[in-house]
Amino acid sequence: MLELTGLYAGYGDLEVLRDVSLTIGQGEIVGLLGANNAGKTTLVNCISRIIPWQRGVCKFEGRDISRLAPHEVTECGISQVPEGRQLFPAMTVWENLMMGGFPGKARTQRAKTIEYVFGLFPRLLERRTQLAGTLSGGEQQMLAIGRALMSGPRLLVLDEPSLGLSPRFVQTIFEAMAALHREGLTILLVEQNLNVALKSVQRCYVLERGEVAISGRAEDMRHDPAVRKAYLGN
Amino acid sequence: MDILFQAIIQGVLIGSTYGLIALSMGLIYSVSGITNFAHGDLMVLCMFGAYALFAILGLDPYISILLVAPTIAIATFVLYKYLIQPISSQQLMVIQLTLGLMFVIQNLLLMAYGGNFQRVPSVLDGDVMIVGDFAVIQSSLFVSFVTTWALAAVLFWLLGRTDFGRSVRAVHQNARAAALVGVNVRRTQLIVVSLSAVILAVSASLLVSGRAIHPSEGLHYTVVALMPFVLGGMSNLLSILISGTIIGVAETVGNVYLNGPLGFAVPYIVFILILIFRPQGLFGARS
Ligand SMILES: Nc1ncnc2c1ncn2[C@@H]1O[C@H](COP(=O)(O)OP(=O)(O)O)[C@@H](O)[C@H]1O
Ligand SMILES: [Mg+2]
Repeated sequence: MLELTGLYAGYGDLEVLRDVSLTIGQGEIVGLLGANNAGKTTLVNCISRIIPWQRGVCKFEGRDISRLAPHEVTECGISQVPEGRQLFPAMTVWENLMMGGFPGKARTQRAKTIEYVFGLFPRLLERRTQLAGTLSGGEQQMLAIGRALMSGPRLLVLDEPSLGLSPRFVQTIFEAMAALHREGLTILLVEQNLNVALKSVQRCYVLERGEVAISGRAEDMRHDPAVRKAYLGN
Repeated sequence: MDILFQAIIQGVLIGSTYGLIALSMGLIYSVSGITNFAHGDLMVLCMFGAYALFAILGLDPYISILLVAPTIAIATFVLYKYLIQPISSQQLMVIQLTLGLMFVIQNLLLMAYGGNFQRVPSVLDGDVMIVGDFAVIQSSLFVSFVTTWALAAVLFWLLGRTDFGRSVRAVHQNARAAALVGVNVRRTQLIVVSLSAVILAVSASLLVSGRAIHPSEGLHYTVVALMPFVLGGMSNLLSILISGTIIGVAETVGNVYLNGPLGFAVPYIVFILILIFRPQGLFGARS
């Protein structure tokens, strides 16, 4: 479904990603793991084209999306739940969701999709007139996921959705993610927490200082000492 | 007492149009973080557009706005797209550019029209209305006031209730997130900048009837717009509009009670006093 090959990217003179390749199959849930600063966020932002890059090719459902603008990537069917949630703080929950359904094709489905999101996270329905900036961390994360779902994506990219959440909310978020996956959504999950991630994905990539150090099935990785080593960064 | 009453009414009427100029400044700022120091000069350019259309075609400023507004909107669009957007990440260069633009416009107008004051006659010239028992108000001021608030109401509805408006607020609140949900950020900025130019052109045609215009007045209007822009919190559009009214009242009341240059200084003094006591702006909640 997603096929990324030979990606090099960075910030100005700082090269962060070197020759990164990654594939995600239809219906899969894939993990992108790695220590802090390994380049995970940079990589998902490259897929979303938030960070411009020249070298490498990114294909989605067979279509080359390497040169698209960020909003075009979203229109294509890739939706990102960014690290730190990045909501529109002075808009209500409802308005944030409406913004999620901004792209033309999604707009006609908004009433239905919003029902679906409220079904997934009933808490958002209770809070729909509240400003996003006043929500708790867990609620904000639900809203960020809900907003990303509003565009009707076929690939959902979650960048550290558990960051800074209480265990109760982490569970809610991961249950919702599992439910979405069961319904057929393809997911790329970025996680720093190794144990959490390996339990919830089928396959994963471990990034180490901007390169793919290890990749394979999650079950095989659980007991692989090399994985833990990549994490410690030595 | 009657004089004060008259001055306040006049200030409210004229100030709303100052607010409108500031509001169009605030619109640009809210989606792109750019403060356009050539804003007043662009407005004076619109005023001279109205003058030229009167001189050549004999058009009334309330009619020529139909030509001036789209022209300035297109010019601003081109300017923003080809000159400003490519350097938008470098704040200082953008400031430099708008300052340069200010001198370009001013000098072009001086070359074309010389350093004299000009007038653009309108149907409302000399027309007055009586407010209350004593206040005599120029009808053109009343038209300015009504048009300003009508335009503001449409704008607030647009920003508050429509998908386009939400996308504008999204770009303002978090441009990166806006891009991620599928907003074409650059296009949104361009539309807003053009919209702001239309509002500016309307302010110009409202102000041009009943007052003399001069090519080098641009900076004055920029400053008059900057005050409510800052007092109103830079992107809170309603408070910008209200702050414009306050500046307008300070101006007219100052002119009634203090003669000459001192009277002109009153709005600035009011502005500075407000900022001393409320550094976050008139309606800001936090610093
Ligand atoms: N906006 C930025 N500008 C410059 N360098 C950045 C920026 N964002 C991240 N980096 C650098 O890129 C590297 C990878 O960061 P990031 O992709 O955020 O890692 P991760 O998400 O795996 O923690 C880090 O060294 C970080 O300092
Ligand atoms: Mg990260």
